[in-house]
Amino acid sequence: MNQFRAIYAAVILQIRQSRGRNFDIFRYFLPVPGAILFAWIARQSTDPAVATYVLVGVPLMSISTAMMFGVGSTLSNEVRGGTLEFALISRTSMLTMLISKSVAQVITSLTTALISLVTVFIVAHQFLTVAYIGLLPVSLLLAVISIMVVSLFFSPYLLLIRGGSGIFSSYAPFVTILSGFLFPISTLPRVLYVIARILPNSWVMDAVWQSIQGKVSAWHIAGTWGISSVVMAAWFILFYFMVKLVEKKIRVTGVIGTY
Amino acid sequence: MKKFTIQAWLTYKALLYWYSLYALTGDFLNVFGRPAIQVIIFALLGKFAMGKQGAQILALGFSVQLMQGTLISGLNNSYSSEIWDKTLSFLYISPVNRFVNFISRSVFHFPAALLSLIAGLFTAWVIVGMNFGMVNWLGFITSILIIAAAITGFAQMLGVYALAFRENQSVLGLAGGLLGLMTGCIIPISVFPAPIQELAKLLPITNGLFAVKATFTGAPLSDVYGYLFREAATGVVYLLISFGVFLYIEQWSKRTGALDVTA
Repeated sequence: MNQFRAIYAAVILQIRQSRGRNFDIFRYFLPVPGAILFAWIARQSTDPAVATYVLVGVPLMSISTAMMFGVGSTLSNEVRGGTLEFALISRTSMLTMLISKSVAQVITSLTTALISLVTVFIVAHQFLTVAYIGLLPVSLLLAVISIMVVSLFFSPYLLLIRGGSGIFSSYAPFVTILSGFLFPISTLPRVLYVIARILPNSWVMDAVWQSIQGKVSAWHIAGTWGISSVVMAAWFILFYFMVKLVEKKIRVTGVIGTY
Repeated sequence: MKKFTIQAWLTYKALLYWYSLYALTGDFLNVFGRPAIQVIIFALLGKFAMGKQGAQILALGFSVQLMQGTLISGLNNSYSSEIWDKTLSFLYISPVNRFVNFISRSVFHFPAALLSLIAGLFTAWVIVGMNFGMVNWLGFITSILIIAAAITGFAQMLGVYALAFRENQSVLGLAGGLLGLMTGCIIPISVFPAPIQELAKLLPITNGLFAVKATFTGAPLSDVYGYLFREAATGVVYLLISFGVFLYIEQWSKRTGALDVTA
């Protein structure tokens, strides 16, 4: 019961922190200009599958960017706010706290994702053309989970490299390219393609592209889901060990400022 | 001149936090890495949706647009850091020439913006094989320099806005997005309704971009004088407005005893 209370509290806290001190309506519309540009480019294509892929990918990219900033800077914000020590001595594990906050971040980023989605549909003047309409929602759900896992990784990572949240301005475009949110990663040059395969997002977006195109069997798509789940699990295990490393560093050195 | 150079250097170094290896890495990523990655996104998306020719057009437009990101974020820092680092009061009590101080803030961001453009064009050449064979270099470089100067005027205006409002990131982001959207970098302004087209021509980049695109395909400089004159005039108007507001904010602060509107 206490775990549920802690999860609920962490979710509410993160939602409030994301909202900021002052209500700022402009930030919900920040992705709009970019969404219009991407939708316009998608509209130039004569292939409806290409346009559909971009229309679906733009909101995912918007969620990914918001998640990287929101979840990725969670631990660093705890340090800056002087609350990391309390998080450590609390009976709630740091892992539970971080996962709860990432769920909250998904909830808050849905608003901007929805605004992006509406924008791209208005500009593109097009409905989705999907071969496997039943498989696409599963692929999209996996995409959101994959984005969560990648964002979680950045939280201990940012703390361990002593980076500021501004570093995400440089990382976010890399993640967008390597994830294949706007174009299948097969479009990438070979070197980037190989690097992209390390990210679970690239596998999930493959499943999204296959669901839209319908050129492979449903079993093949299920196989892609399987591979992406394995890669996600590997990232989660890496995240787990990095959180443990952060905990160990704090408990052993006793000085947060040492890393 | 010596004082001006020192002032320009200090505003760049101190107000952009360029004093550590980590920050230097961040600056390198900001000037070279981020533009390159953004061009890759647009070039590959263009290739995916419009073919190789479309990718080259998008990459050229977007490379020009990259300059606004570097200038707006850099100049915004040079003003907002005055607030956050509590140095604005010292500026207000000093006898320094305000116009010199105002102009010196952009001196090092200007070449940084040009480096972003070069990073973008180089990336486009590597990724989509951008063809530079027909470029009229004199016209092209002149157009780029005038556009960069016009964006500087616009970025100064947004920077001064940061003096008045601490929480300005969303407005800056939207203003940058607006420049990317309405200046013809990606979407040709001819697709917009006539009144919007006229509004777009009041923004920096729009007029100069006609000159950039023409000279990129070999047009002589004399063909684009009109566009370049209008681009330069746009920049001067923004610069004068910004300086006026800069002076007004100082007077307002001294009169009310507050450093910004939200204080």
